Amino acid sequence: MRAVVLSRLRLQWTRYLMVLAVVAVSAGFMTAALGLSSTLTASMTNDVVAQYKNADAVVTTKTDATSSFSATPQQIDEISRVDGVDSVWAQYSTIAIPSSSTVAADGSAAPVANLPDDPSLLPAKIEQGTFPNSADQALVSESLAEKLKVGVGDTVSLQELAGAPAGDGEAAGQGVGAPSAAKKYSVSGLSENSATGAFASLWLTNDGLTRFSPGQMMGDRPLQAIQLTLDGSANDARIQGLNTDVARILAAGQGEQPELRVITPEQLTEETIDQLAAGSNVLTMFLLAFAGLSILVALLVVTNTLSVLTAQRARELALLRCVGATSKQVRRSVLTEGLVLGIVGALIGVAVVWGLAVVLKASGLISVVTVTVAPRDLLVGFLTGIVLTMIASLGPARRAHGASPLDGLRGSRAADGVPRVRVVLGALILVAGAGTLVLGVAVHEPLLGIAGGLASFLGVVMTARLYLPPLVQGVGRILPGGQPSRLAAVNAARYPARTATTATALLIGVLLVATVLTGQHVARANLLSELDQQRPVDISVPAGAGQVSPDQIREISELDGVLGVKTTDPAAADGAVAQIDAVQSLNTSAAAQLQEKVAGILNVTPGDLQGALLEKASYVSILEVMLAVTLGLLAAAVVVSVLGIASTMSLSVLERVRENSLLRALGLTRRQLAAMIRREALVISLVATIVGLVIGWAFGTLGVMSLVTEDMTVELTVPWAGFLAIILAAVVVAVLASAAPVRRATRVSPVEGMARVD
Amino acid sequence: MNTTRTETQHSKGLPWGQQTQQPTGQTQAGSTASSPTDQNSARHTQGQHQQHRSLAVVAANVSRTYGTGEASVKALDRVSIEIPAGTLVAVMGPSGSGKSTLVHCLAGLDVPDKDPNTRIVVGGQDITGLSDDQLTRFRRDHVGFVFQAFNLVPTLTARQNIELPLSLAGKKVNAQRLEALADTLGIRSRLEHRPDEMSGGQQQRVAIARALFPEPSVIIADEPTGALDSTTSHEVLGMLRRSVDEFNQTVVIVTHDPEVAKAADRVVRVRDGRIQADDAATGDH
Repeated sequence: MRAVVLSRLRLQWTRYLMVLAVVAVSAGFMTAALGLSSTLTASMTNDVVAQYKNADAVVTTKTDATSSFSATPQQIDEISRVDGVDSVWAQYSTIAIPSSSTVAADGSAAPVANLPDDPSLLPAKIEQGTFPNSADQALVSESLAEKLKVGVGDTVSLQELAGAPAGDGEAAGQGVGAPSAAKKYSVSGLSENSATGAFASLWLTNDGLTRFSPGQMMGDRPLQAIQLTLDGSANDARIQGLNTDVARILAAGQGEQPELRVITPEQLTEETIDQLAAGSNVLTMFLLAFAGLSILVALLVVTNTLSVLTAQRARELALLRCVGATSKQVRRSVLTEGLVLGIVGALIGVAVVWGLAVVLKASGLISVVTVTVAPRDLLVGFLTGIVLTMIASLGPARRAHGASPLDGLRGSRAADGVPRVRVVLGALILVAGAGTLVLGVAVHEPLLGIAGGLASFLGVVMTARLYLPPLVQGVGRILPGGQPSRLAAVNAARYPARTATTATALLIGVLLVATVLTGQHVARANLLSELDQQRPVDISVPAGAGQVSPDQIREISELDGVLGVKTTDPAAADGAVAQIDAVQSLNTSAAAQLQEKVAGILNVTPGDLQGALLEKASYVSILEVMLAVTLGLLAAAVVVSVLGIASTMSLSVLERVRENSLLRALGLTRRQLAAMIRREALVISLVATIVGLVIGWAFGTLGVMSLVTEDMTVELTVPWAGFLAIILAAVVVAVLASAAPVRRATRVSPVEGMARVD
Repeated sequence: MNTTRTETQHSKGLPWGQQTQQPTGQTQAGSTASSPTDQNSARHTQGQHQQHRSLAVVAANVSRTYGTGEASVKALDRVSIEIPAGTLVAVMGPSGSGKSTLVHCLAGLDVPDKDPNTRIVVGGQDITGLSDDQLTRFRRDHVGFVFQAFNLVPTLTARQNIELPLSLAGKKVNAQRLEALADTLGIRSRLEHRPDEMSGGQQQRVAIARALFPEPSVIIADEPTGALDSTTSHEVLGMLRRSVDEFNQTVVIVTHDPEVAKAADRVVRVRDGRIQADDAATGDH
């Protein structure tokens, strides 16, 4: 039997291409989803741990490695005198605005840190030059050196940010407050760039840092960690001893000082991964939900393809029965086929993702994260592909098992009936889900809305067998195009179960895309109109900008995105001399551009302008990003369903070679034959798409309605542009999916086709 | 696609038809004793069909080779044949003799090897060298097919199957004529049924109806009784015979069945890609 299965796979491998592609996409997507989560965990761990990589032991707070504590220079000195401690590095950090003789300060800040006394503790490699040995020298990261156009021996100037503590350089980098005098340092060496932001880009000696900000004693600054080197190795007993000593010296747990502990960098890494895993679990679950969705769609597509293949092979299977194969052996042959397909498909998918990860890592294009695909991710993706294919083979295997040899030889085919249990259950779930969804809307309870939405979704999918085939037939009838079109409609509805499953796969993808699109659209329209009512002024020009001339007003009102400008009395309107109303749909970059243009016209800096424009734009941008991410994640499911249409179409064409040849003999031209096949795909794809859009619109709208509070009324809108694009895509998909079947069908000459038995 | 035209009317005087002029560009091929290799034979004899029986099919020097190089098989070797209109011709021969290839070439289903001396004229239309599209349109207008099995499109009813060649050409169908034909063939009550609801004999009758309905220049029947029991087979054969005798149809039957040969006006025996014998039957029908 195994020989039969393997020879079938080898000789008819083209029939399995789509199944392989579907399994590969699903397994690959699974691996990629898990890999993304591994990558994020690894990158964040790197961020935290990379700076401690040369230490033998690290003092941190007991809660986590990012909260801070304090230590005076005396205390640090005392730690360095503890038995067995070689050197101590309490790393303080701050930010500075750097400049050089050729490049002026542009207001952006760079992180500055003090160097360890022991150069071997420095986590960043020195790429050029030497470790600084005086308070006038600095180690500069290669990227900052490049930006400042300095090399070893040149001079950099550092300027303090007034009132800037050790903190986020971006936020503080806008350059407000009175600048202090710049300090000059000569560049002694260039250090490794920090890909993850774990290292400072400017390193000064302890004295150098004190010279940079004399107003602040180093002991006053918060510390995140003290790094130690030990003579000899760091065993558990020594770490235990250090723990006690350090806690005593730093008065841990007393006053404002938090509880402290001493651990090895290795332990810290493990601990950080554990902590981050909890956080990235949410992300992993989110990604896995989408992977699960594409697997559900893949399950439909693979089951369908294998069912069709088994049905087409009824005669061959019957022949096997006649020459002595038991029904068990026949069933096993179908399962074996599934297993082989699963292994090959999953291997391809996982290998492609792994290859991509390797290439990404090697190319260094993405340097901010550490691209990591753990062995676990590869294994889970691989198993997903196999289990998916095996489950999909169960139904076809059962039918092959139950078929009588004589029926098979006669070529008669069991009628495909409606699966009653599934449909009835689905209808009940649909009714209950829709009820819950409506209730959720009525009482404004998002959880009810989500639960009801999910149940209704399940119901819609389970009952698809009931409504999709009649719709396909109906739509096929109303499409124009003469006899070939009518034949296409009849063909599309010939095997209702097959058509229903093919269409359902696409329906799922389109429905979810439409839900997300509608949800985003409705949310955006309502959120923005709400904001517009509360804060109607998008840009207000403060009195400080001086008088606004009529010329300037005209110029501003001609800008893209500006709806209107009016001058106001500064005494009445928040001290503004003019107010500008802009269109609602600007995202942050468009809003910033507009703001800049307005500022340019008024001869002020963009920061001088006030108003709600940027805030509104930030909501627009958040919604845009959410939409893009969700649509990206849904892409896998959509791709799989498109492969499903291609698969069904090519198998159907294969099955109808004789019939199509008869039609050709009777006067169907090649072009008519091509049109017929294309139309069949078109009808299936359009019906799935339109049903998906309608239901998805309802879900999206109701979803938002259940989210908002009672006092908000949701204005109903349809994202026409998006929906139209989806319908167009459905047409393109149908044409693409039927391209190969059309080519194959039109190549067969009528005589050749009529003679074919299978 | 074609704009809808009214149904092509032929001048065979079928009881369900109307006597009108043949509208196709070229006229019915008349025949004289001129050599079929004469390139103009189909044309310069026009108008002579009053005196002579016109020729439904004229084929000259038809060869057909399958495959290339060492593996090539010559299925037909320079075969020439003329079939007068209104006759029933049986083409016989062992399996692989080339008889099916011959009729497929005559029907414009298969294309003979390229050769300047080759010529096939059916119903006055020279089909040599036509493109696939032109051949398809030619088949619609000039050829009716009856096959051994798998004759009907399974998803269509008997009526739709009969209408198929006309509806593919975008022509209107005269329902009354169709029903009259169905009556004649005894399948009126089956018109709204699908093939899987009919017996083998009924399916063949629907196929014959479909072949007859557009009044083609020639009906090609490839083993039409091969899958039928002897009684049904006899009936089907009788119908084909009647369509020749009463309605002046031209029918070419590929067969193994000596019964069919007996009913034919003429029996052509093919062997190894050549016509071995071509004898007019005694005409005891």
